[in-house]
Amino acid sequence: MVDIDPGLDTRLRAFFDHYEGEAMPPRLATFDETDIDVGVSDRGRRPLFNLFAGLAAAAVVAAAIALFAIELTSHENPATGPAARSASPTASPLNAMPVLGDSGVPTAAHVVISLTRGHGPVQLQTFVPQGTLYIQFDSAGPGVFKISSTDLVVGNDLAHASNSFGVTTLTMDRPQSYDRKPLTLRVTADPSMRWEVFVAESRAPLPVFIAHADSRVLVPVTYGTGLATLPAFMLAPGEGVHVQVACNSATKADTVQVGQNQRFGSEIAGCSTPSGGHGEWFATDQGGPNGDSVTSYITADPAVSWEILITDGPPPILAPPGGRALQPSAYGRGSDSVPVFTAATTYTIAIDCSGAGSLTMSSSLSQVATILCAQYAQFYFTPSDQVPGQPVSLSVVAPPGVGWEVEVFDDGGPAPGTCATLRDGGDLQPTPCVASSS
Amino acid sequence: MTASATTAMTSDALPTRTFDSVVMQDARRLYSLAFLILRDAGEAEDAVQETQLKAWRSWESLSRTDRPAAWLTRVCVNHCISRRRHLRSRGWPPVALTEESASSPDPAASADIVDVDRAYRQLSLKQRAAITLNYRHGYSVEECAVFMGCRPGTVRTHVARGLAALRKELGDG
Repeated sequence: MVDIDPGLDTRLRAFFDHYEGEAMPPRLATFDETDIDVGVSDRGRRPLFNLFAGLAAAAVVAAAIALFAIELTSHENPATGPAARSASPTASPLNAMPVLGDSGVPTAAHVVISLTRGHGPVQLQTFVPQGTLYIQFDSAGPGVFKISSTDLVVGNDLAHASNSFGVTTLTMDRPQSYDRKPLTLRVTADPSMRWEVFVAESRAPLPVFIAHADSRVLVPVTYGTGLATLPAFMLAPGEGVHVQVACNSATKADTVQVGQNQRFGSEIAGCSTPSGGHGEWFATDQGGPNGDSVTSYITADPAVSWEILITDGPPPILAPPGGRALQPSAYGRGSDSVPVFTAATTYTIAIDCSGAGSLTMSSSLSQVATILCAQYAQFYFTPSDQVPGQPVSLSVVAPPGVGWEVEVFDDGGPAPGTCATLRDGGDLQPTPCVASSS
Repeated sequence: MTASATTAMTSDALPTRTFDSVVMQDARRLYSLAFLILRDAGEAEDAVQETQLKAWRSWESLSRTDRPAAWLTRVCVNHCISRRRHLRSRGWPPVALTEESASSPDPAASADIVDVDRAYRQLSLKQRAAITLNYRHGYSVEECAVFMGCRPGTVRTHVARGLAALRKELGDG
């Protein structure tokens, strides 16, 4: 890929487009060996640059001027010049894409693979088709252009012999033939053939869930619609799980419920929104001393497509001594805000996080805490500038790959003046502030 | 001998591959490539014809190669570079701008194309070849190196210096 700034890129593109649109000399379309042999021998004499060559050159110049004049005249006459050019099927090697609207991809469709240009054979990114699939492409060059799915889910329906040099849009409106299956498109073309591809779908794409390297995958990334029972997995006593769920919907059906052994689970909403729904949470097994077999059940409308990944999670958040949860845990990924809370006395913030990167917790008060998540980590934070009875809003700043859980405890213990401390999960007790007590 | 007669020569070649389907079908691409490197219609036409002639003479082996288009590209680019070098050594032609490029319905766009053309013509032949192949035609640096008969690092240098020269000439930073 050439590293080029957008301004120069635009200008160069216009320049190349302009000259690639020039018509090819007609005699190149047919091969006559005799003519070419004459031409070669003629060119062979050029180094001598004798009188005959000079006269020939003068004639060529005169002819070029005449041709230029003719060409100029045709350019000045819009009724002939541009029309003649557009009549050539190779006037523009690749057409402008994407073509939206009635003749192409509906404007409301979601982009799955943004406009991609290349040449020769290439494998495109994997995605999970949602609803109607639109594959738009154009190609220029000799040979046959073919776009198909590697797993043959879509199969030969996408085969296309391309000498048309026009934008083609394939509409795959039989979702049942490929739904719930990741799809990888592959372009097969001669190395000299240039092409462009654009893929969209009628429903919001599901995100790509990737288990981080040091986690134990309990239920691999699974796609489905409606009701389902997921493969069972074993949890050790006290071991936690990390559940990630996403969904979208073809109707107003909006939720996906995930239940696990009827003991813990949760629900996400927003499936029917244009961008789909997404949620994640940590949970801890409360099974017997020998661990437990966990089976997950998905409850959703048949019109709802969902995706789920379950890995091992962090240990549960424990309340500080005497602490009482102020509100349900808040879960998130990346940067987000936590619902506002009000503590009657003093409070402690507990933070669980996982993933590569650091997490910074800031509040409407002045203090912030930054922790390094890496593998599952748990911290407690007791701000020192607390004002009992005052609403507090918390916000989390973290990379998109960091998942977190925040829970706030009204511990009623340390009086205002407790030093601001950030403690790992093994130290639940806030540290008395020496300065304020003296 | 005409093109239609040439197909008879390919009876020993792969049954689905004819001179027409491989070489003549590629003429448009080769002409575009040569034209952008040489910026001269007549010389570009000569380059394509030379390539077609070499393909004709090498058809027996060319028809059996996996990537005939790559072969054609290499021959064409090589011809462009060497031909121009040959002509330049005799002072031909002076670098001049053909204002006929300003034929777009949009005068501002036309003026810009003329400006880019003026700057583009200031580039060395190899810089043009590298930019045309790598930037415009999308070939990888390694492929460009094969076509141009040099090392990949040299192609990168040609592209980088060519673009830098264009930026400077066009005042794009």
